[in-house]
Amino acid sequence: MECPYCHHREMPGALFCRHCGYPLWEEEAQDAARKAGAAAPAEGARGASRGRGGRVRLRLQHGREVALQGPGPWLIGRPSGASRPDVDAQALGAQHVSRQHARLEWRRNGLFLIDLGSTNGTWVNGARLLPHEPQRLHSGDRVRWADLEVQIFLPTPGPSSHVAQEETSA
Amino acid sequence: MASNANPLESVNYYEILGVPRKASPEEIRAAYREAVRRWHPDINPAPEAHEFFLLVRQAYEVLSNPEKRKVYDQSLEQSRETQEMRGVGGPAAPAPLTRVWVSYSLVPPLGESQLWYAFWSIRAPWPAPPQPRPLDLWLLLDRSSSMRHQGKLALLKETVLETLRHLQPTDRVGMVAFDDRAEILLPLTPVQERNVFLRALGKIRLQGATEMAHALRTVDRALERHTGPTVVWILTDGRTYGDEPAALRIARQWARRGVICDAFGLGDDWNEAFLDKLTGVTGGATHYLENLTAARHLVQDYLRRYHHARVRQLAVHFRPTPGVKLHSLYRMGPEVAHLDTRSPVAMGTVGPNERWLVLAELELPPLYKVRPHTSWRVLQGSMEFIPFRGTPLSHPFLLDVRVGEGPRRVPPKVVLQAVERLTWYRLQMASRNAWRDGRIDEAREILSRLAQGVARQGLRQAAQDIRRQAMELEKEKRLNPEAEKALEFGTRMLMLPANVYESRQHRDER
Repeated sequence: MECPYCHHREMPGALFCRHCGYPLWEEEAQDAARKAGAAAPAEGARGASRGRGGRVRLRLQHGREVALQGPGPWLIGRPSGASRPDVDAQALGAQHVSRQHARLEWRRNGLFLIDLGSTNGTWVNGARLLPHEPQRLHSGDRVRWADLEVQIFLPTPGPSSHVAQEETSA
Repeated sequence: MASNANPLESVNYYEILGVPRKASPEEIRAAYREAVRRWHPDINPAPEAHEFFLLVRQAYEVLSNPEKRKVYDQSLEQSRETQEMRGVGGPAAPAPLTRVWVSYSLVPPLGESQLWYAFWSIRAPWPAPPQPRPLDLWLLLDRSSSMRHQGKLALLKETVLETLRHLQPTDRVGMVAFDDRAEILLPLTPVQERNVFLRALGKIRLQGATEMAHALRTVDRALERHTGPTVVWILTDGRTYGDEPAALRIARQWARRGVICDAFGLGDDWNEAFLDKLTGVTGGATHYLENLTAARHLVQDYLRRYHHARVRQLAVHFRPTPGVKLHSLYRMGPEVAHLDTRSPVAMGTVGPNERWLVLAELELPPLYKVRPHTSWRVLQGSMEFIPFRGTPLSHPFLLDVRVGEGPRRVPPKVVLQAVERLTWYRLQMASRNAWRDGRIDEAREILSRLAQGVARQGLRQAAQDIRRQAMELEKEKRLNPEAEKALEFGTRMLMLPANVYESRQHRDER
């Protein structure tokens, strides 16, 4: 079997990828659930529910919510010249976010956040990310881009037809 | 081995034949035939095959007879209920000595090999003694000239003093100083004579290089028969060269006699791969002595365990079915150790409220020829509990898996947690190897992945430490050796059961 994260080959029955520590058993359980026609477990289903069923929402400090539009990836940053990021930090009141600060994107196994070598850093739940190292996000994670702090909510798994949607839109 | 009635009772007839509780008479008959083919003394020359064969017959006699089976099923139910009512170790039925969890109880009949994990929690059959056991402790103190640096000699002496402080009046201590030679500073001496110890410590003169086998041999000659635990502690900062096989040979002999050897590494240059192996074969463990605080905690934990040890030693024999490979074996508790897979495996001892936690990584051969939905024996073995006096208790165990197609279940939490922590440990080692070979970027990348995994489990402090190391590698393109050792042993500590890990972390904060 192949690790979906780093593509390292592992023997069947491996529970974690030896190369990156990715929990391979989650994939297996998910595949099994799909085969059995049951709804995938909530943890594994996030990647599947990204179709048109729900949106990623960012909750700002004052409780205001921003929903991300389109399929992504989404650039977080400050506007420069004519180009505008998907999440305009300046419009949201932040001052120290870099122009190209970070990127959010869906991958096969979930939503990932990547710091693009920003000046003032990206934090997830209080821990700073290394630049260019993708970090998988979970619903409720607190993310900070320089002085912009948000809580991230992933779409909840909807009807099982989302699995099919994901496969057609991929 | 003595076939005591008690341990056998904890393996029930269904387990002996490897069939589920609801097995049909046909399944039972098929399993019986299979077992006879495997266990008949004419076929299987292993010494315990005969004993097992008798058990198989006994099991079949009961399970093949509907009436006897009904009665037996009822007794199983009852003994479980009484056990639950009276708590573990109730007089009515001996509680099982072991619990085992496996990664998957149903595995697919693949045409290729597959990995499979088993995790045992093993209880000692005897209670902890009410009074501390008299302990014979040998301290092997490294006096090679490199001990001069980084305050290592001072830390060594402080650790010895701390040890003396926590010993009981009935304990005896012997001291050996070693470099490329070894010398008895003090033969086994009752602890009360404190001044004698101080004087002996003062006699240490730094000189020469490190050669451990001499020191082990010196102790070996001076070991005495003893009613309590005999323990050897090595305090060293060095690498031993060329005499590793000799040292290991002595350690293996010690394991057979129930002598446990632990090692404490000082500074950043000691050879932990070798010390791990050396202590591992005796059922001991290796630790990094970062500073006096760390030393104090370790000394107290270890002495408490030895003073209140419930057995002298647990030795486990693993006999995998031909085709099955026992890849690696780890003790995750009470102290983490990478064990030798060669049987018998010395597991050391446990103190009050402690159990042995053992993780095995196995490779199953291609199973496509196995009849679907039958059970397949992965390994059998026996656990030998060696008491301080009296006869050893031998407890046979079996490990079966069902073969067949079916959805993958989520593996048990304990297995996931153990294997995840093992994965972290290996990632950490991989990062260090990459770093040693000059592949800095790769080392940094592995560390940051490791940090993510550790953070995912909510171990924030540990994740931040690892992240900091990754940052340091990014900026400085190097890691200072002290930080490296701290990191490695930090990751190893993550392998400990959560409660032990947290209590040690917590104490360090104070």
